[in-house]
Amino acid sequence: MVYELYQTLEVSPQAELEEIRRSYYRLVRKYSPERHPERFQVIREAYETLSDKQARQNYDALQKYGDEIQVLIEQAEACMSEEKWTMAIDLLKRILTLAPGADAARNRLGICYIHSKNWDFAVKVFRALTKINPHVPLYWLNFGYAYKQQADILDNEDYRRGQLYHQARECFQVCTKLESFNPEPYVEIARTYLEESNYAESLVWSERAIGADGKTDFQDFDTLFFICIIYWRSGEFAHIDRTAQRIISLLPANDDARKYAAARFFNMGLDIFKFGVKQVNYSLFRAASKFLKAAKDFDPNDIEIKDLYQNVELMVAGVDSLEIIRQDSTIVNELKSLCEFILADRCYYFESDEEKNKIYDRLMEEIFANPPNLILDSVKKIKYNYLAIYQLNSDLFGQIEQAIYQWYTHQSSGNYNSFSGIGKEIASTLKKWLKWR
Amino acid sequence: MDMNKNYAIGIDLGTSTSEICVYRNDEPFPIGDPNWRSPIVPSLIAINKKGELLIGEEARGLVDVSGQGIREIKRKMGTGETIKLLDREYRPEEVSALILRKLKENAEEALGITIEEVVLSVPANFPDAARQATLNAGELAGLKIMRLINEPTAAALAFGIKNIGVEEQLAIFDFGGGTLDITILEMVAGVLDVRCSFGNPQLGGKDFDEAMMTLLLQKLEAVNPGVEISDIAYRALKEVAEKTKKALSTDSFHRVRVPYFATCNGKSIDLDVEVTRAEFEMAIAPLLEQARECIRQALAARQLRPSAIDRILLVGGTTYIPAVRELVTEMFGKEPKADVNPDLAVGIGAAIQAALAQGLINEESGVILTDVAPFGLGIDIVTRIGGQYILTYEPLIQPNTTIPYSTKKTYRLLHAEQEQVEIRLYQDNTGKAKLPSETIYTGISGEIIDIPPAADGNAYPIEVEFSYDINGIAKLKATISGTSKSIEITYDRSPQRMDVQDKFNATARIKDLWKQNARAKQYEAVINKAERFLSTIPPQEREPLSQIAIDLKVALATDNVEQIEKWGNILVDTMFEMGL
Repeated sequence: MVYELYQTLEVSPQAELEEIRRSYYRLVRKYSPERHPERFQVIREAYETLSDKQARQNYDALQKYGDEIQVLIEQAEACMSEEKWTMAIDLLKRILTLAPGADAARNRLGICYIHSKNWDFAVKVFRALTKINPHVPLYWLNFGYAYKQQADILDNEDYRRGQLYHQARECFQVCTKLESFNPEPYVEIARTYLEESNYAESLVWSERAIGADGKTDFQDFDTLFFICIIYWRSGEFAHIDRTAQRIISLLPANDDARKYAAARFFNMGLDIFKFGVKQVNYSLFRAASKFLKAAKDFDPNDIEIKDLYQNVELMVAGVDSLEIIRQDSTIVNELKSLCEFILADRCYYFESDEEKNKIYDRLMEEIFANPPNLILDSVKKIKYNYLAIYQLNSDLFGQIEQAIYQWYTHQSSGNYNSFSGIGKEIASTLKKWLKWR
Repeated sequence: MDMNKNYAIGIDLGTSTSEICVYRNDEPFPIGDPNWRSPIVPSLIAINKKGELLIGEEARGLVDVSGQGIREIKRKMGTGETIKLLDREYRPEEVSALILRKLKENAEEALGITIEEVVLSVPANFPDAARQATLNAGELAGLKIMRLINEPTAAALAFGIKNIGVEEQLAIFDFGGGTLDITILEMVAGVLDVRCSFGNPQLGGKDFDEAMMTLLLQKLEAVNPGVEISDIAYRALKEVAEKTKKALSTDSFHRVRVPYFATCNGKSIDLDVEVTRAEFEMAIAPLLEQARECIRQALAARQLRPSAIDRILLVGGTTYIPAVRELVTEMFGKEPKADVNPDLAVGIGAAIQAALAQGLINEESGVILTDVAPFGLGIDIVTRIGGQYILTYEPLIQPNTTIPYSTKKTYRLLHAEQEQVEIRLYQDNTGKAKLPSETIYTGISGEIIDIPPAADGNAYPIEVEFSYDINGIAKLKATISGTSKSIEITYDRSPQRMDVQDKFNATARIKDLWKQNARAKQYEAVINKAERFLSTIPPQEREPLSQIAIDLKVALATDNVEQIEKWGNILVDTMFEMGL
């Protein structure tokens, strides 16, 4: 059975192209398509392979090393699934030495190079593949990844970054021309633009990804979700809500789909929230709140989602109030600082308990340096005018109020104590209302 | 197939002209029209005021009169468009059938035989619907089409049969009235191996005529601003433009004169302009560029350099235009030679193909022909791509694949509980289609139903076996592996795809028209005369005249030329002897 095609054409495996050609024509004369259609087909198939340099090379390699190559391929695949890239690379190189035309193996080699961050080799592999097979979209896609992933790990300031993203986009664009209906290369282009903070272009390409197959449906969920991320990054939080509504209209009427969407939005909201906390960027709470609201809309009965949403909403309201309170001259400055402290506390801002303790003690000392009536007035104002902040830690505010009333009572019953003296006392009793590790 | 026949017939049904050729006594030759002598029959149909049907040269005077004539019907083949002649609508295949019938009659008269089986030529880039319509036209004309042959392939055959020892790369530049085809073949050891065929099905001599018409009108308007041209005059211009185009193929300028052509400011004016070849060449430059693009495509498809082509054969009337020849010379870097007759090569080749199929040519001197699929066929499948499920086009045979061809592919059902699957066949003319929307649905499909659930929970594999034979008939068999479920669908070019009722109506319509043909009428008068006479004599005296008249009528009804001629002659002789 080996070298069967050569037997069909009645030539030796060493035959020159001209010899193969002559033999083909001689045989077609003998077995014409008119009279011997089956035999002709076999002859023709053999000729198509053996008259094409690349195809013949592949065929020869398969005849010579077929079994060996098969074993190597299996081993390489196993290595790749275990992410043993260096080993996989060695195996794939051995395959390509035996069969230089094995494009599928070469493609895998390129993927291994990307995973092992051998960028130059990866680019070289895909440049060669796309040159030989300019019409295979997959190779262009992977070529794009070779550039993009290299850029992704560079610093924002690195001068190579822009150039690499540009090259990645060129590859992805070839892919979109070859396979206009495949959303993947469009999304990847959108991702490169997002990395470069070019939100407008990123949105344009995301929408192209959604429309790639000619219809917007639930299969476009990931891209729509990606659009939400663009809006988060560009600061256009209101559009997150709108995009979530767009997703809702596409969701199939089944609970699993809605739960899945809810989970995706919840996780994203949580991530953004944590990120906002870490960055002390309170405006991100609003973005987080939009994601969580969407999650709640998808799955209104999930308690975890509801809790976090309410919590974040509370903070968003707090942040809003804080901005106004800062301008309010009727409230003593030290209490304003307390409001900020409480918000920071809710956000798990403080590095350590000691740090927090220190700040808290100092803050209380400063507050109680004020006359009691002023403190009381300010707390009452916060309670009535800035409920959102008051609610962030109503216990603490309440206890301050209580303590001052108690002081008044004590004073009127003759137990005269200095007001500033009770500051420390109150501060220590109120500590339990703060969050400690 | 009648193996005892010593002749074979081929027909080139062209956009502008048509030819019928015969292969007999080891020689192919064209058959001339008995009245006009020339074997090149214009593809023109007209009906005169008396309701008489005119075909070919005799239709020329009326062909451009609205509602009375039609030219270039081939360009409408396979479209749903109908043509109004007098007060009736005709399908393009019916009009084509009339031309075929005329050709058939010419040959029958010249050869004294009844013609049934023929090989018909079609442009290599003719889409399936047009091929189908051509087969229908053949059937309506009372012909059995043995095979459709691609026109450039036929032309190559006309060359190959006489040059069997030649080893060359051939390019056939087939530029006819309606289409342009470029076919690259390799000839070795008497085998003509078609490598690829490329073309523009919408570019032909007709476009050159239109360019000339525009040029003539521009010239007329330049001298007579505000000139008014009636519809009638405009239609007449077509004929003038065609003649001017032909004249400029040999002359460097041509004077066009049509008296009382148009009106200007209420006064009648003549069309009297001079056109130079250079002006015409300027006007057709965009068309030439399109032709150039076709040559580039054909060469690129097989990664051929122009210098690899050893010989260029020019086919089709448009190749008489000097600018077209120059373009070919320039693109291939060598001058085309007069190896074949551009007007007749296709018809001759069709006749040779018929002779080969009928075994009239012995093995040693016969050319073996391989051909390619003119278009691709495939099915639609669900593919997961970029994370989404999309319905994509899956080719089973690509255009320009050498035929016969077969392939086997295995797919998988979508899930284990899938109960049915539909296989739909699509046609891809470009070879680049990736989505069903980029193809043409053939309307052919099959469905496997009541598939039992897969026992192991894995979706069944589905095996698709596909074959495409030398007659262009494709067969597809889909089998659900491990079950007895399968379906077979056939993509058949047989004329069965024309609706039975449609065919019946079409046959009736053209029969009516054909009866108005002068030749059929020639006997009608004799029969009428005989019947009038028969009614005046007692029944016992009516023989043998009445039987002869019946035999002639049967011959006319069955359209049997030998019999018509035989009984026609007997009837005329008998009546002459009876002194009628």
